[in-house]
Amino acid sequence: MSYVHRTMIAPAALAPTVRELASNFPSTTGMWTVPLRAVGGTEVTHYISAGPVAADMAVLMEDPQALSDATGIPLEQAEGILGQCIAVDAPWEQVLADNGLEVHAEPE
Amino acid sequence: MLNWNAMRRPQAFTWSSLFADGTPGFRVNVEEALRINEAVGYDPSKCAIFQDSAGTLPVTAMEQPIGYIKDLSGNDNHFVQPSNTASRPIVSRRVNLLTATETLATQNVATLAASHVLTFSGTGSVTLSGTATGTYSAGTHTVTTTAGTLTVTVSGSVTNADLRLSIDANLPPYQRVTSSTDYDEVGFPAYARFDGLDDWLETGGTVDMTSTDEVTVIAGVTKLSDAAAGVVVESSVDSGSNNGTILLLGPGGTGLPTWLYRSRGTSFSQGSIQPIPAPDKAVITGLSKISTDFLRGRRNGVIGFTVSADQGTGNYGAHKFYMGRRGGASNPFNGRIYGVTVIGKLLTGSQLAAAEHAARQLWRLY
Repeated sequence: MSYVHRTMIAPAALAPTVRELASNFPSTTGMWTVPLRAVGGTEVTHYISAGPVAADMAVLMEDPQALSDATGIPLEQAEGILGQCIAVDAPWEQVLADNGLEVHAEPE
Repeated sequence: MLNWNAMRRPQAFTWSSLFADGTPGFRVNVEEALRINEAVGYDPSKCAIFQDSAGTLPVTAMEQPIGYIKDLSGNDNHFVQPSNTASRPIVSRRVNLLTATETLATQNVATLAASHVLTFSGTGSVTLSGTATGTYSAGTHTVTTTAGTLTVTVSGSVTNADLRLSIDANLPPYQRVTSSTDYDEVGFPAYARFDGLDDWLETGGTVDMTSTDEVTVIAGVTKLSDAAAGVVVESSVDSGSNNGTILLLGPGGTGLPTWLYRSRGTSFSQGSIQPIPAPDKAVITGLSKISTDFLRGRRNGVIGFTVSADQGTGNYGAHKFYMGRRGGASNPFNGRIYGVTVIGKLLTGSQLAAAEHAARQLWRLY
């Protein structure tokens, strides 16, 4: 087993779908649960996970055909999902800055 | 007459002595766990730190995830990341922010708002732009950056380049970094890097502290941000509402330059070591006793606060402990955790001094 780093962001509307798809694979419970918002905004627009993921799972977040094959969803749907998500090897702070997002902080 | 007692060599300090006679608690230490892995030839049945939460895939190299790290106290209160791989902290010894440092090329690096040390050799120069500005020739320079992306533009021959937080200036002055996973390790203490977003570990079961109302917490930590309260270690999913709990935060709240320690019997008492702005690396100690309302925080062996507010009654509880995030759900810690020891008693003055000294030496937190 090898791991690669990924910062992974899904639109809020798609988050339940990507969580459900991820549940087909081991050690994926609780991903995409940290809420994001546009910088200065108030509404949750996205959810994020960042850190090590299994290399074969990383492929599923980059290749619609591989995602379709692994989950059984139609290729068009896989293309639509991945087209709206971000999965890159970069620090989460940088990815948020590049996309005008910030963590939707919870009250303490 | 000779005084043989006075001549007797004092007993060397051992961490295991603190857990003698069944004292509850745990001891997690990344550096020691890695040494155990190496010493046992990465035999999974004997290793102490693993990439997976099942404890079958040992950590064998830097920058691998921590899915499971063993309690070295003998109490079997091991920590795991039970939910997902992305929430596992990373094991690291890296302090140099640059890559391909032997012959440096132009590159971007992410920086905090902090003082850094830039060191390099060669006949060329380095020009900084973005989060800092300036042009430098060979030598050692102090550079203050803002948070964001620093562009390091190289002109001519720049060799043995190192850019690190000033708090790491006590470590060997040059860390070769060939790639993100291939760099000098000797002399650089190991830590678990918690990303300040979604990383955490938790004990596999509850830690039974019901036999005592005394606790000593000793943590080797670096906080990299004061943006929002970050949980270093906490018992139960929320020490604010559960009795018989403790909490160590860095920082203690939004924008606060503090380390905070809390103890709760049936009501909680807390205190902060301040002002200690991020980045800060130190051995932070919390001591508390519920029945006498004693609460104290220390940083690198120096008392930071003593508080006598009411902690209520009773002993500590049997709760899970969380490291890096409150209940695995909020208040993520952004920084490095070298190790955390929680002992179910108040250490004596000499025990405390010896333990803090040993921790600071091992983790080079000075």
